[in-house]
Amino acid sequence: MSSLQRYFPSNQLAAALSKATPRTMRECLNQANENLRHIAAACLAHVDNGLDLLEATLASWPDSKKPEYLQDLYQLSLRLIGAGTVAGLPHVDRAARSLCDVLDGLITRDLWEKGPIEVHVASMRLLRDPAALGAGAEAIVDGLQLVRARFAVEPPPSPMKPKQA
Amino acid sequence: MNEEKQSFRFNLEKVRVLIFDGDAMSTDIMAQILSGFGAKNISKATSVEDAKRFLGQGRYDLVVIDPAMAGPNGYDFLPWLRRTPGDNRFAHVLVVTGHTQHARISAARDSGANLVVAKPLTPVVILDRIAWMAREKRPYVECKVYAGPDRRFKFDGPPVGSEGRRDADLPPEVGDATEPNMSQGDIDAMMAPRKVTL
Repeated sequence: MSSLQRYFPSNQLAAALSKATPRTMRECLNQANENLRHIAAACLAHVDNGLDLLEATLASWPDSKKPEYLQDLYQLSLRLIGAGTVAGLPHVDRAARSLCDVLDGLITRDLWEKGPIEVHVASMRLLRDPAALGAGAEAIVDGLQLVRARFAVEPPPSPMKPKQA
Repeated sequence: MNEEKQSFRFNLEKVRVLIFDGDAMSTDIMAQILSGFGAKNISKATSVEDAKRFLGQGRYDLVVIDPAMAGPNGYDFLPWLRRTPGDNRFAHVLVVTGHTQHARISAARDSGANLVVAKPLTPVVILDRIAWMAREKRPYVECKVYAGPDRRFKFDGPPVGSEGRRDADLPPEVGDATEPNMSQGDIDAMMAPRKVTL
């Protein structure tokens, strides 16, 4: 047995909540959604800026393998996740997450391929204007998932799950 | 969210919140959601130094952090928080992450996070997770390799295949019954659906 100390601190979060003037969950959610609508334009600008940076970075693809270059692309893609949904572009979020999976796979496996990154960035540019795509947006994201499946690192099976007989 | 849950009372006006994220837009999104829930005391940190400074100035009830965006030392910040003497070591920590790769989730859990939430952030998910943390009764544990809330959400005993490391861990073998069998009426009463008030 390793030495372990156990504490039972009071739940400060619960205490602070209990002191507040009560509001219904519906009021809270409505106000939060209203607040998000106020920053939708800023999120759209953030997405545009992120896409521009991704394209500019991809345009200067190094001649030789540089893991830190892939890390930079990963960070740029990571910054896009979340803002797209608030800006009304959930497909951009999904594409950015897929690109993160691909970049993570490339970095982890020490691979150096431009194609899967390029197709993601080009798709994100298309997904920026969902009205022009209509139902095609979903098809694009589905296509990216196929690319993702080739490069992403899948999690190991959970040790807690019983083995199949 | 059903009607019953929507009538649940909630307000963060007395909750002190620290948001630690290196990305200004993500910080704004979280701050807008939390202020919609009534939060008035929100501190925003963009670096480890900022976050440590805020935490040194007073008690926080909720810390929201994206370790991947919090700089190169983002994942070191949580163990520091959990091991630094003071009230803030017991603060509830919500980790948000854009990319939910397995290693990141494990790292967040093993750093002492209470919960991990994947982006994109939506008000309903954040509210649900905060309400969950307010209700949770997990003890805080500290040992050589870990400090933070007990990582066992369910008290199902030690992991399968291991003997357990704690004196409270029960052996995997089920022993003889120590009480009389339950009646069918008792069992039916346990299984009957009940209306739950949150």
